[in-house]
Amino acid sequence: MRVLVAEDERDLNNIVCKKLTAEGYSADACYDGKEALEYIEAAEYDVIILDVMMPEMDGFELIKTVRSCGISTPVIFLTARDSVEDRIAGLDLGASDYVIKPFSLAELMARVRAVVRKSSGNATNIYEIADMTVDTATKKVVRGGKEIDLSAKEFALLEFMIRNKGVVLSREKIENNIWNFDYEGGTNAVDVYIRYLRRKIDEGFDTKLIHTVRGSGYVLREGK
Amino acid sequence: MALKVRTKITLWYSVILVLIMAVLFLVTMYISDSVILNNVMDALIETVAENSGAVTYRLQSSDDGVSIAYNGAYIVIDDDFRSLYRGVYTALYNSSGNLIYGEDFISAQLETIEPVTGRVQTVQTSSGTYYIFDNILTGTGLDGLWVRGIVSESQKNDSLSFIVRLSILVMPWIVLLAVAGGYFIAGRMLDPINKIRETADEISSEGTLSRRINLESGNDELHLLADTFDMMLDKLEKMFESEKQFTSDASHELRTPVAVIMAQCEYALGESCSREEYMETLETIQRQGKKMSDIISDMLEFTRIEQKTTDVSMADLDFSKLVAETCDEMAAIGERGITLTADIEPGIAAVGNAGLLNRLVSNLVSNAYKYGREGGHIDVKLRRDGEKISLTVADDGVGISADKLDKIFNRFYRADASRSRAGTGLGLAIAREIAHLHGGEITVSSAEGEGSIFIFEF
Repeated sequence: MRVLVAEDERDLNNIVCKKLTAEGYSADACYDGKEALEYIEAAEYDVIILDVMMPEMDGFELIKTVRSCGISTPVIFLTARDSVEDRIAGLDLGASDYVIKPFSLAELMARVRAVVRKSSGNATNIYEIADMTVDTATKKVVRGGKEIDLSAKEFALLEFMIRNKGVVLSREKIENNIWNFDYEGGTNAVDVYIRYLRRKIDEGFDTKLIHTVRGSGYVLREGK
Repeated sequence: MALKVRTKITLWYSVILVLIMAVLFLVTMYISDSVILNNVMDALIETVAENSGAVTYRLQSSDDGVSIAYNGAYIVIDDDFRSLYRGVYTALYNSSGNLIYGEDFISAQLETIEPVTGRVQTVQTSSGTYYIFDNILTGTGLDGLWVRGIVSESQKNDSLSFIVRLSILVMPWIVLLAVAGGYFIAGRMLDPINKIRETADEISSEGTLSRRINLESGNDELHLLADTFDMMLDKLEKMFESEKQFTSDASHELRTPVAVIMAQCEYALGESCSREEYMETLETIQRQGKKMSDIISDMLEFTRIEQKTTDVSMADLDFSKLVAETCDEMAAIGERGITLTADIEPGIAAVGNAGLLNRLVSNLVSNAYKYGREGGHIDVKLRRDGEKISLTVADDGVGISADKLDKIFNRFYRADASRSRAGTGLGLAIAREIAHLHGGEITVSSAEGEGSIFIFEF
């Protein structure tokens, strides 16, 4: 899952990104509204965490521009302005959530999961396919009653795929979602991680879940 | 409030009015009584005198009137003799006191009363009180005859009772009209007070200062009072708004560093971190703590200066020296490769508070450092022109766009809205308050991209 953090207080931006990374998400940091707009136009994000008071372009203006471009990525406002009017303005402009500073990092992560869940139409944090369940909150993966231990990146890849189960995902799309702009690991990183993941979740099971679609990419689905 | 002011006023003058009416009534009665009595007496005396002239003694009977045989001749009573005129019964009596003309019940009844000349007698009878006036006739053949006029007291009372009736009929209406009219006018006059009270009520119950009395045009004292209240409310509302804004801004400013500290702590406690990461976390916390501390002390200082709660002692001081020292200090720190040139006219004396003026100068200069161009230049110039001292601080940095110029002295306003770069956002606001305190002003001119010039004059 890929998250954009637009917050002009560098220390805060930094810690939020660190936490997101620790959760296995890929996070991009930007420090003003214009920069944020460029990021949003350049990459596809699952969630945007947006400060209201930013130089160049404030959060309200930014979300207006973004929505008018037809981008419906969920936005979580991060703000010290806690007045009801501000909250109403933010939500009416199309924000999915409104978090008041100071906030708890754990709560922010829960809200991130919540808006993603909502936008993918899932009612809980638990996704299921065949005999496998993936809990995005606890990062637990169980297949055939057995818990599978995944690294953060592997989990991020699995989470992306299960949220888009049945959809063929190109290598580029996967790369964009799993790694942020700072990553320069080479183009075959996706193939490498798909191999790791296959080894952990498909080896030893009759039903394979990860399928290669020649010329297009990968898909997570039951059966052929 | 047991009684409304309106009721009190109305009650008060109603009572006074009734008293005045009563006194007036009594006085009228008294005066009328004597006037009417005089009228009745006059009528009595005049009628008797006139009728006396109509009685003559003649040898022959005459066709001119009634002839009554008397002592071998005739008493002729002219047609002019009016036995009942102006309520006066007149009759003619002979010397033995017998009624000889003017037959009527009263005259007959009072036959027995001895005639008295020259004054009015009051006689009580079973049928009422009568005034009697006698005129004993003289002249040939008339000696011993007398004319008596009788008027009933009821004649007087009839006139009087007419006045009484009139008074009783009219006076209550006058009183009623005055009371109703007064009550109405008092209500109209006091209406503004009610409106003022209602407005005050609304303000205290709703807790908003946006209500106004808004009386219609009028320029009596109460309208002026209402207008004054409205003006005061305008002022209060503005002050409250600015206080509210300040509180909201202050909490906003403080929340961000608190958010950073809390997030850092949560992360450091929750994740397994390396020693370097812990150090980094602690440095961040320290940095944000320092920022909060700066914001708090600036806020307190600003509030103290603005509300003048600090004891500001003014003294003679060498402003040139103060500016020079501040410039030296700031130049020594020398941020971001900026050079500072000070052109200070020596020996300029001023009256002021050294600490605050020092703060003003350093705020202006550090502001120039903050927004100056990397490796740029700051010019500080101090001049005296007659009574006016002017300090100019010019930088060649980013400058300020025209639409932001009027906002830069606002509390917590930063021209580039970037929290991480500028300080607390209170520096210029504080400088301006200090300038005001010294009877001076700070003005600014700037072109975006070319730098800004701040001028402090006092």
